[in-house]
Amino acid sequence: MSNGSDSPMTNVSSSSDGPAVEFRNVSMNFNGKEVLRDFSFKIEREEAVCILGRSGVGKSVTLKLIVGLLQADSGAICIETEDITRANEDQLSRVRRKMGFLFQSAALFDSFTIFDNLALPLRRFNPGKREEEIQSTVRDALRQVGLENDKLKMPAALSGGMKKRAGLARALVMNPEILLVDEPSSGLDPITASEIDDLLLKFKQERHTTMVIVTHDIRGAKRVADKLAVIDDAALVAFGTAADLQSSENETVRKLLES
Amino acid sequence: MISFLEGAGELILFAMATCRRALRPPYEWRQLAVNLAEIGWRSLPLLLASGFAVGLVTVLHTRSTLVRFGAEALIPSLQSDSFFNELGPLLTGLLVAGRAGAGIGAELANMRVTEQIDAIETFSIDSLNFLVVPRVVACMIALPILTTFVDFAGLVGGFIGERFNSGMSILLYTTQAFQTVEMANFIPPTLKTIVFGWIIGTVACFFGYTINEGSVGVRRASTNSVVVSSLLIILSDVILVKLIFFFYPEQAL
Repeated sequence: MSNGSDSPMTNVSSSSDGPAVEFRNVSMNFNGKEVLRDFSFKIEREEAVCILGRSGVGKSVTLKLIVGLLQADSGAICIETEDITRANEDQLSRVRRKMGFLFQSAALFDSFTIFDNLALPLRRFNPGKREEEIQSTVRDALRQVGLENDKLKMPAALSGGMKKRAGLARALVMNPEILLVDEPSSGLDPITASEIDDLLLKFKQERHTTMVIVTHDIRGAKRVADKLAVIDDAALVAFGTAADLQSSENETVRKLLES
Repeated sequence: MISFLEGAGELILFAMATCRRALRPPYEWRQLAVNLAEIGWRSLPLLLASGFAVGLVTVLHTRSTLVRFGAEALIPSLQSDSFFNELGPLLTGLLVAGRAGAGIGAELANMRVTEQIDAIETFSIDSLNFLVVPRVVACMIALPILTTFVDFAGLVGGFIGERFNSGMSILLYTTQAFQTVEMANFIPPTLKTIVFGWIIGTVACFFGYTINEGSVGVRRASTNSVVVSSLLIILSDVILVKLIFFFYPEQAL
């Protein structure tokens, strides 16, 4: 992730194909509250970035802006050079196919089995795909998160950690270029949270997926992310490697790193 | 007053968006089947029991009055007239609004709170098309079918009541019950429940889909779905009855 402004902490890595995600002077208000102010940054391809900050500063909003679930009031958001800020449904649909999203609550469909939760996007985007192929893809995805024996269970029958793993498998089943993860460790015990981090790390290394992870867990963030970004008071106050952030004089950044 | 008008405007826009989506592929046949089973099949026991009970009670109440005038022979035809024309459709509409409407409102509101609707959108699936249209269409298909079952359950209840009171045979009861029934008594009142189904589905989906206020929102969506759809069913019934009388003037006599 690199700040689009002229901050001394700017770290723009060049790529021939352009950044995976770019925010240009994005501002957003939510229910009368300023959530993002003149927000600019770039996330390079295959980079894993963790977004940190206090609750309610706009971390999850940033993820929802990337996937087009929310619209910015001003500025531009580009996904692999395609501006989605004023995109129509068809354009958004094309861009979203490049992304996987693990929601904070996993957001598994209650009325579907775990298998059907994963099969839904496969069936939708590959109408010509044979059922055996879909079954095989789902089985592989569930095996990678250790849930191959739970595919016929309903989400209500799973523990919090299992739901997160199922949600991660669903986010990855379409083999996305960009994985968005909202609070992977929330509501989980430290061991389970660490297992989720292990899975993210594994997918990052094996698939070279660009990752944008919103988290409060600084230890997990340091393990998984190439770079950390800190949002405070509706602005990006720091970003860079964990080592870069150690020298930050921003109070929020120091408190986060010490936590 | 302004917020009421805003709400009404949003509901109308939502209904229009749903109608547009319903005509546009992809058609969610699987979702439609699932919702038909939930709204139609699973409502059937409640509706059959209610129709039977109301049919029985109607006979018990009307009998004493008709006997006073020596008109107890009219009980079967009175029973069929009242059920086919009004009791069956209205009872079905209000009961489905209570059972399925509350369920739809609560389910969608819960999906909104737990980000399941957002998750559907991230798969580039039109959530209106995937979640709302099948529920609305399922209500529209289920209501006339359920109404027919309620009509007949009411007649059975009426027969049981009459059998215990006067010992009337089933042959005489059915002969007299269907003596005055014409297609105009049965088809238009039954088909008007398609409108009731549209109201229940649209109103319940609107509140469930748009309210996002945690568990309080789920409760509010559920309550509003039942209250508003029941009210609109009763109001639309007046208009629809007037329309039926306009197209079938003999019904008004």
